[in-house]
Amino acid sequence: MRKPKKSFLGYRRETGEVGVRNHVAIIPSVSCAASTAGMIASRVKGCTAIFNQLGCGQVDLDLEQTARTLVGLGRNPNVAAVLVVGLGCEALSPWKLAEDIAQSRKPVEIIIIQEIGGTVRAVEEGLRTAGKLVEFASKRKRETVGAKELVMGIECGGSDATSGIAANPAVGVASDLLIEAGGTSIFSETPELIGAEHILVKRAVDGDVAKKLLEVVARFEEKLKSAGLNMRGTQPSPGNIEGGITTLEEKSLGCVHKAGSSPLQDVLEYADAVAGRGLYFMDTGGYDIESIPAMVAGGAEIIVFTTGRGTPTGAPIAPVVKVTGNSRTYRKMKDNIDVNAGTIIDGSESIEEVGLRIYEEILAVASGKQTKAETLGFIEFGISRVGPST
Amino acid sequence: MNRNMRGGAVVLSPRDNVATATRDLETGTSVPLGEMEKRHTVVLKEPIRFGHKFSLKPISKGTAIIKYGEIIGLARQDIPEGSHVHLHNVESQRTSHRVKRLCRSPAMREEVRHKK
Repeated sequence: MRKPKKSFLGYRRETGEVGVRNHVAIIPSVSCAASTAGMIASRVKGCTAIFNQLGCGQVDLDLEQTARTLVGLGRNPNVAAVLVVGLGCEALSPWKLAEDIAQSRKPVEIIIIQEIGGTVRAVEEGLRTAGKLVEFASKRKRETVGAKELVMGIECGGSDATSGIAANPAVGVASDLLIEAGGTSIFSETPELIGAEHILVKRAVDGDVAKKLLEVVARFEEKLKSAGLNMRGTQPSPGNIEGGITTLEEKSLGCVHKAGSSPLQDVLEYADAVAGRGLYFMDTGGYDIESIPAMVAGGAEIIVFTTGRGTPTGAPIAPVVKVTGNSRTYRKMKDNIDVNAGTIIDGSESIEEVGLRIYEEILAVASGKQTKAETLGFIEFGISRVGPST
Repeated sequence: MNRNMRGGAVVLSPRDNVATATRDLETGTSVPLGEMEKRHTVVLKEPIRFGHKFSLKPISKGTAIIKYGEIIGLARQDIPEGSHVHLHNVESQRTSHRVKRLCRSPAMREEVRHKK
């Protein structure tokens, strides 16, 4: 088999980290400022708005988690510069948000709607500022860097029986190749560990990591129980069941293949920054729209997303590479799917061959190739809540 | 691992008692499984859709359904060879309130202690 490539073209940032995109992010500190932020982003080419639905009516850990996610997104190396749009009276301080993002030493500007005097003035000033930031970003050039600089997030959604047999094992091979090259992979979705914990416990680098992994699963189950919820009926989802997945354990055992066979370095909290290299697990829910942004906030620069049933989902800031293990889904949803791993089931390619193909696609996308979700402009976004609104 | 998926179904681990259909299969189809001397044929008692599972041997009520070499649930009833294995005859051990006990099983605790 051919030798895997070990480099890609990326944007070196002020911190030394390397991004795969060169966005100017317009980040509203609160939902009340989101439409204004969206107006600015829609008028300035090169800008991406993050549709934050939270930022007020939140306290303690719940507010902290929202802030941590927005700060992480702003700091992500895919972002060249940031404009924070605040309202002025929200719980999540826009000034603190801007300050925390600015620790990554990239340009950060701020506009407060109540101070400047309404949306029209905020948009007028915002267009001017965003324009300047895009000009700054446009002068950054891609350079050749080692694959070890890349942080990949791995997601699965809309699973069917092919996910566990073809797409996830092939993505697992790609993840192992990236980690062998010195890079980093984050995978998430705590409910989809249930029934497969023992496999990852064995691969944890030490007892503390193994314990943390079991703790996040127990904490998740405890939380459901205290809310009087039972996952029967949602896990597996109706689409999973239709596709042949019978129990949550079966779904989890298929999901866990996407993490390949590398040792598990650590377990991260939702949106926590990844601090080293190798394989990491992040504690998130199983809802793709909320778990992808958490991994991007944690530092993931590219997302690989396996889907048996097919999903259009994208993400702000990070490209999402869609992989299906189901050739029928690939033929039906070519507009949305980047890689067909269904060849494994059709019998024309091995898991290793498809894994190498996915790894090469990851490096190509990291170097600038646009994904289907990017060309369609999809930027689905959500942040998980810790508690109720106050 | 038998990864030859051209025969119409795949068995992911030698321990498994179910196979996954890699195309739509009709009632009465003889599905060849396994390699060489371990080769045997399962005749389907009902149609099995792409991605769905069927039993490789009779599975009695209360015993484990094994896929990927791991337990994916328990048989809710006796399942004859060549039958569709899905919600109607399989029970999850984890999507009920028995979860915590299983997660903190002695075997799992031993595994964690072993790591230290």
